[in-house]
Amino acid sequence: MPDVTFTVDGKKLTAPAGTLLIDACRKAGIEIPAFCYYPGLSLQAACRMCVVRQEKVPKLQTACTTTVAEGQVFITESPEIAQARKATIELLLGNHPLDCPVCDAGGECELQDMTFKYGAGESQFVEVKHHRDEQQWSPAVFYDRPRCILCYRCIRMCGEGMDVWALGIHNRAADSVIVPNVLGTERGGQQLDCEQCGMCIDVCPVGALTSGSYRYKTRPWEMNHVSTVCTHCSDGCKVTLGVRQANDGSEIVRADNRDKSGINGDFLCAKGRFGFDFVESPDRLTQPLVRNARGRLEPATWEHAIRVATGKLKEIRDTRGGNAIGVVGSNRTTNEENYLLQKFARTVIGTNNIDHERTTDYASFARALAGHTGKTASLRDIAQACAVLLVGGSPTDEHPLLAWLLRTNVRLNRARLYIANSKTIKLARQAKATLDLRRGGYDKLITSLDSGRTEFSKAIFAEESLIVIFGEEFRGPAVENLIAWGLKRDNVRFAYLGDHSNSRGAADMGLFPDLLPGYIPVTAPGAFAEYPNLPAAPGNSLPQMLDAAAAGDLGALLVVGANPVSHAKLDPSILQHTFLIVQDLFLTETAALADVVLPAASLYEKSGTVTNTFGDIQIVRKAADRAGVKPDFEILVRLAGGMGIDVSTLVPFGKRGTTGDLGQSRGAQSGEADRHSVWLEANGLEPKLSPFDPLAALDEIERLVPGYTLDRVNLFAGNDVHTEPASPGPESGFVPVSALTAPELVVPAHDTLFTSGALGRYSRALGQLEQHQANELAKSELAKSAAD
Amino acid sequence: MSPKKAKSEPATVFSPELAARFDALVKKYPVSRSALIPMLLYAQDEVGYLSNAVVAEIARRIEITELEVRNVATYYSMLRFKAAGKYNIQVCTNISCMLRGAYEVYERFREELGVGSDGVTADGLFSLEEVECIGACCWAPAIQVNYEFHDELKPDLVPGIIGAYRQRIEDRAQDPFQNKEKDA
Amino acid sequence: MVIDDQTCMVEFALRTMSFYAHESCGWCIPCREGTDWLKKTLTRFHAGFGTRSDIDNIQYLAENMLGRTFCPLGDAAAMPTIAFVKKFRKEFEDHLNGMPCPFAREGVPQLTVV
Repeated sequence: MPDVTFTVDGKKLTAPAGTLLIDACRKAGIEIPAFCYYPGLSLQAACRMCVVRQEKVPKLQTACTTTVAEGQVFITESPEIAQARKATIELLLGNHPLDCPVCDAGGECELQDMTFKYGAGESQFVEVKHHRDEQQWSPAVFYDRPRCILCYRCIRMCGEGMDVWALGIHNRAADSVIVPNVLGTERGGQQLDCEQCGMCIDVCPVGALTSGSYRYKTRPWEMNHVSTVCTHCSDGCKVTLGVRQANDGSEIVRADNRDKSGINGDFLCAKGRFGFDFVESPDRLTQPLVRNARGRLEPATWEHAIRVATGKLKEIRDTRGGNAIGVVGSNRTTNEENYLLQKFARTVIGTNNIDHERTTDYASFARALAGHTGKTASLRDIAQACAVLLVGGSPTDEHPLLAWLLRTNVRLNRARLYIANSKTIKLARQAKATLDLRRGGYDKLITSLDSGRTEFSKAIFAEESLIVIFGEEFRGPAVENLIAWGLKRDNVRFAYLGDHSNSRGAADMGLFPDLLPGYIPVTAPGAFAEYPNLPAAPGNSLPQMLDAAAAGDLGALLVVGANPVSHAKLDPSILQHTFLIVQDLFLTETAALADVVLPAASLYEKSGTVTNTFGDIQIVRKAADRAGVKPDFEILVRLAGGMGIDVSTLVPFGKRGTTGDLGQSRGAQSGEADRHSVWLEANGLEPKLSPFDPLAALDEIERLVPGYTLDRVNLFAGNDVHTEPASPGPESGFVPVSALTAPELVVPAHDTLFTSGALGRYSRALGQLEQHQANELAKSELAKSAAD
Repeated sequence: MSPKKAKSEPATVFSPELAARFDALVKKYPVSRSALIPMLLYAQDEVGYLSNAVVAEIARRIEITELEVRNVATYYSMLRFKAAGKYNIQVCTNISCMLRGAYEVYERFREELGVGSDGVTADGLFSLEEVECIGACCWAPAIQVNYEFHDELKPDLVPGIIGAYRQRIEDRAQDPFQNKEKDA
Repeated sequence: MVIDDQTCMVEFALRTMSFYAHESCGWCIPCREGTDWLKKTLTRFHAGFGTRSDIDNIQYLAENMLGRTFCPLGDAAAMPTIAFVKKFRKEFEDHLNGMPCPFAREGVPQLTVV
């Protein structure tokens, strides 16, 4: 659309013709109040708060439905308009309960803010207010009709945004009421049968919809709001954690993303929004455990536990060699921790026996793309893509943010979504065309695409550019075939779907027995030459380590944030000859067998970076605190120190940092301390005075890991920064398939909307939601069979 | 749970005639949900009110959720979710009728029937409802009993109207051809 | 519409407003809340529990509905209400101080809200 110029409050503004006036004004810094308008959702013009005066138009116009055109003149603030808005608020407050002192929204309520701004401080309302009792619709969602101002944001968010359509409106006029999709009966009230994402609570401008996990717990101003990254799936949503002081540290009381920063905007799924409570689980480990002479795990001090662990590790390394020790890394720890872990394994223990529980074959992905740049798609690319081909996977369940972005892109930008799947997935509702792979399976895909006979393949070929998103259905050679197909056309980019919050980071950081960070083979000449004593031969993969343990050849196993006993359904007895050290949040099946258990901090209790499955790196900021636990980074450094290593060889701290500006030069700008520190961090000048500072490891990652050349300003400002497995290409030694990157090693987690491995098991909120949905499902099945 | 029946046409809560009518109605519009309001009205006429089963079947027929059916159905005050009397007496009390004495008429109905607004007599024959304009202002005050109008009313005419309907039921009971009529 | 001088204009305003309160779809705030509020106030007022400030408030509410609603139903509710207060203020004042409706007739129920 061509730009047009129009006047708002005497200011000349320019915007593309057809832009909504409210958007154009907000962009220009002119705030127009609105309850019902919500960017990205359909227009309502119901709240009448955004009324403005347009020249030559007799009545006040709603800015949310007025599109700008050349030469228009608007006034957005005048006594007339202020009176109109004040009157609207007075009318709303008539039936509103005015229970602000106890209302969850008090302090961050849009109605409260508007009342304050337009001064509707007195009420002439002396009638009886409408009252309805509060309803609980699910463990997550409560509805308080009296507080509801009927802006319909929740209904639209649920329907248009989530494509769930679980909320509706019943009755009319003053009796109108928002209702959930499960009819109440004499036995139970109305219920919500939905994805339980809580988006309706998030968009509610008042306290009508409240969250089961947050309500009546705190006041908004009592919390610190820390922006970090969700620890559940591999989409890497930014999440703003509301944190409050607690007896044993600080507790997370709320998760949302109201500042709309990050890739996800305001989106969060049930796991991101309610699944943070595993950190408060009473089952959380808060002190180290050491197996005593009677074979029982008993609490110990950190010093004692580290001494026992390192003493044994050192003894085995020195007597039986590094290859008698194995290391298993995590899909949920930060890049810095993963990097440090592999460096610890390779340089301190001296073994390539390092692996992680692979959920996707990132190694094949990297290999297939070796030598090519600009071929991976970030989440932002996907959010703006003209055409997306989704092969396999079930994003609605396993990648809620991806599903949200695809839906939004189709809805708002008319993107074309093509789906090839062996099942019918919910996103098919947004698809322009689908290809049923029920017969023939995914092997048939490329033939089918190349045939050019079907409408589907014709449509794909007609696309000028295409992003291909595929899941774990593709491993090993299948990944390479698919990518080779795309590379033949120069307009195809790829994204590969993995499972956990930092599965991609674990792979990128070289938690492989045969690949160093950046997918560089351990056998590549001169790779990571600065690592002292780097073993030249590939080590054992996780199953091989477990086989060695069963054969009595594995002296010790260090497991960081992983649960191979449960994951590989192991017979526990095979580990009886292995000294087992486990760093974890909970006493998992693996930790229960350990000789030393070290209580680790969750992702919400540490800082660092994580990489989502699309290769977007984001910064993780420490939000909560739990007395007794330590970040894995610190634990690893202490293990190395305990083994007698000069930890500065492991973590390059104290090198450049001391020359950094500690703030002395700020002078008159001392009020800008925050921005200044961002600048320092961005330029690598902040002092890394501690060996426990993960940023020191990030410096080394940036220096040594191909592809991790980071836009630090954006990264530290809290934005996502795209990386790709920019391995130097086949000519620099990127090796062909090795047995160790075999696709069988990949075991996808297939987490659902309410499960998240061990974290999900210890989340009461997610358990309740899963239970609720299972009950609703059972009930609706019952209803169906009764109707038959 | 009883074992599910073999694949067959899903059971309907409507008569074969109405089911056939709905089959045709759904195909009549470019978007099948356009048939929603006529379906609700016809269903209410046959069943007497919009039971859960009616809502479920209509939702299924036009492929929208039950919630959406209820969103629409609850909006309209002439659509009911509870059974009304066999003869639903709707007394208009809007301005024209009010000025011409509708409240006196309404009050008389209340006395005669012994029920309040939205009430149903114990025998299930009559229900009373105060409604907004029924479009008979020229002959105010007017009432509507099911689909029949009675206008230019006075309170004294009320017992006669009720009596006439009672008589009709008695006549039907004696008429072998009429008492087959399906009661809602 | 012709109305004789034996008709209570407050009752008339109330019946008009309860019609609009019933017909309001509830979409936009001024109409949904305004008609409901006015209906409640007029009911109370007509029953003899009104105060002098109610009369001004009725006019204030109606004036603030006028021209602010999504569809003209709000206007249609507001315009006669403003006229009732402006043209028949005396009849409103006659209901003050706990006085029953001056036009109340024997045997006719007081208008209550359904």
